[in-house]
Amino acid sequence: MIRVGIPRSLAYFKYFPLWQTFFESLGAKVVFSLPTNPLIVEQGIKSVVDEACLPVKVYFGHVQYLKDKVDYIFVPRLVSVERKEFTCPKFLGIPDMLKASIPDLPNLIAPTIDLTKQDKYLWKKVWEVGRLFSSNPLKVSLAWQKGLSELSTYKQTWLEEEIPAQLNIYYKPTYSQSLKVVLLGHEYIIYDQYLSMYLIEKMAKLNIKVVTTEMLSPWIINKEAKSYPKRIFWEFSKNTLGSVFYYSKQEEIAGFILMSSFGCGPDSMTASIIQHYLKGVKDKPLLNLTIDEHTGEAGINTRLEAFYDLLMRRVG
Amino acid sequence: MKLTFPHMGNMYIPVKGLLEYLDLEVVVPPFSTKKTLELGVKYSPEFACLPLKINLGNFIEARELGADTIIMAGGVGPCRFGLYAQVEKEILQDLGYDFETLVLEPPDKHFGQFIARVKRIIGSNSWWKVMEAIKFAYRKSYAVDMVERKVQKLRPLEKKPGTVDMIYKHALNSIDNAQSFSTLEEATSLSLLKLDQVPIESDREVIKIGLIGEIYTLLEPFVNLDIEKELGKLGVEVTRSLYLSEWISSHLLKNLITDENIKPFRDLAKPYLNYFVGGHGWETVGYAVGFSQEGYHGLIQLAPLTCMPEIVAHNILGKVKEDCQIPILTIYLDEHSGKAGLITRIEAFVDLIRRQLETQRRLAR
Repeated sequence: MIRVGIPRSLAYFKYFPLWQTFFESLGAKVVFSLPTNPLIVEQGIKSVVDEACLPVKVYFGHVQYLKDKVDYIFVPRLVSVERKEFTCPKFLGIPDMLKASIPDLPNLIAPTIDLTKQDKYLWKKVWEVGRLFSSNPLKVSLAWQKGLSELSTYKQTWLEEEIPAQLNIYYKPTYSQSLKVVLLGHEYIIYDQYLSMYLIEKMAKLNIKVVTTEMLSPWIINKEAKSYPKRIFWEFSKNTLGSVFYYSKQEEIAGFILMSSFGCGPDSMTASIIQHYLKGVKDKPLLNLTIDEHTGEAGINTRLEAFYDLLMRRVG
Repeated sequence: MKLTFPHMGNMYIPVKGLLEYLDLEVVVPPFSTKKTLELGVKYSPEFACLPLKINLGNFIEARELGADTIIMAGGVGPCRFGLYAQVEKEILQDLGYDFETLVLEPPDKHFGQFIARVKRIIGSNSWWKVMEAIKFAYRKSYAVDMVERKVQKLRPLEKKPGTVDMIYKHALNSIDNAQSFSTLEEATSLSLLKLDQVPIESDREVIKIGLIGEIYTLLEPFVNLDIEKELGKLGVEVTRSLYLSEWISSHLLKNLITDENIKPFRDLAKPYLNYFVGGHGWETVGYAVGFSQEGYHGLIQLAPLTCMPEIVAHNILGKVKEDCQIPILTIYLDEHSGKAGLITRIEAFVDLIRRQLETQRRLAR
């Protein structure tokens, strides 16, 4: 059985149900890397230039982990997943960066997904990948459809304001939760427990109800983001801004927490835009947390608690 | 209406030429200095890249001179530069400065939107005159580049250090002051003639280094700490991957004037980087391969700290370095960069290259 490795990092958090179902329906065995741990981080840091951001370093660590355990590693080059929008430049270069810096890699499955101009090529890409496992286009198409429906179930869970169980985040919404706070940040940071230092769990422990960008329908996000005078050309930043615009109008939202990694290009701009925007909104404080490989947990705790106290004083 | 624009090396010469040709009032911001940087750093987002901070400083200083309208280039991703104009506008607004902005970028909705914006700036000038003005500005940038290329060749050879740079400064001034096509022609040829007369030691061994990387750090001497001049002092002939007129014709004019920009760098970069990564990341890798094939002795990559496209390129250059057997030094620049540190690093780099050449010669003997 062909083993396909998928790094548990970056776009994983957004698309893994699709990828897993797709490959498994085609008869492959999917191997995920372990959830991020200190060893993976250390290996990642060693294999990429210092200036890269922490999530990219961690991604390299995940690939290192998978390297000797699988026949293929799935590392898509996600240029763009929506019209006229891009992911991050580092995503664009990921397969090339991997090839340049990790020797003896197994075969990479690295389809280029670029939907900037049109999306009719998506099937071509699906077939390009599926062909490796089956010569029957019908089978590939069925696998893809199955994957898509799996993905939409996953997305539906989000829309019900719940965090999908597959992410293993211990988080129990109770009725006593008095504060509703929006947690902003790349999904590969805030849902990666090691990188975010269990932020969601910590917030839950303080009886804060966490809402995130994923819990809004794309329709609302796109509508809100359109109100900004300049098109936000990063898909992720557009989602963040759209949700900030939306949530800031909701009375029950007590505040915002933005977690980003040091050196993140899109976030450096997004954070500035959010700050400027929230300045004009009454009673919506913002906590900005920046992480890198040297961040200590104690510092994050202190700041979270201080922010919580501030919110409580405002409410009480 | 008083127009201003951000500095980027010698870009002020063609831009000022363009606007003055249309009889518009221009405020050229004071050259970037420590003060500009301090102003910019104070008000910019901490993790924004360096060009944004200096742009902002330029605008604040221009404001003090009475400017009220900003003209700058834009983009539609995925490099951060595309959002500069909007973010800077917001920051300036928070500071209480109300600027009008005209962003030159591919229109998002329809072309008419873009035309309308240009129309507001050019006022009563005819489109024919605008075309003439663009041509004039392009000639100016081309003239600057011609002079600059010559300067880069002569710096390592001059007998008395500093002669070339003195003439260079003069030449820039006279090109800047030229008001018509004929005076521009005259100023350019006179400057080139003057440079030809600089006494040189032609038997000196010259090291050839290619400068690659991000456009702003390549073109703005204040940001790259005058690296070209410093390399010149060490006996290095510098060639950049990017010159102003090339950028203007490919990025701003979309190759309307010349079609020489066939972009061979894409093919050169192929084995290493197969896709564009925004900014000049692809060019950086392509030119690295190109320069090494042309027999350059070493390469220096310049980039602002946290620049995304250049980080991708940096990572890939490691492989290029191995395959092409060429030393590459990467320098990230930010508001904390110091000149002494830079000089130590380039001195060591040039020493390394000289020693390598020496060893090669000994082995050949």
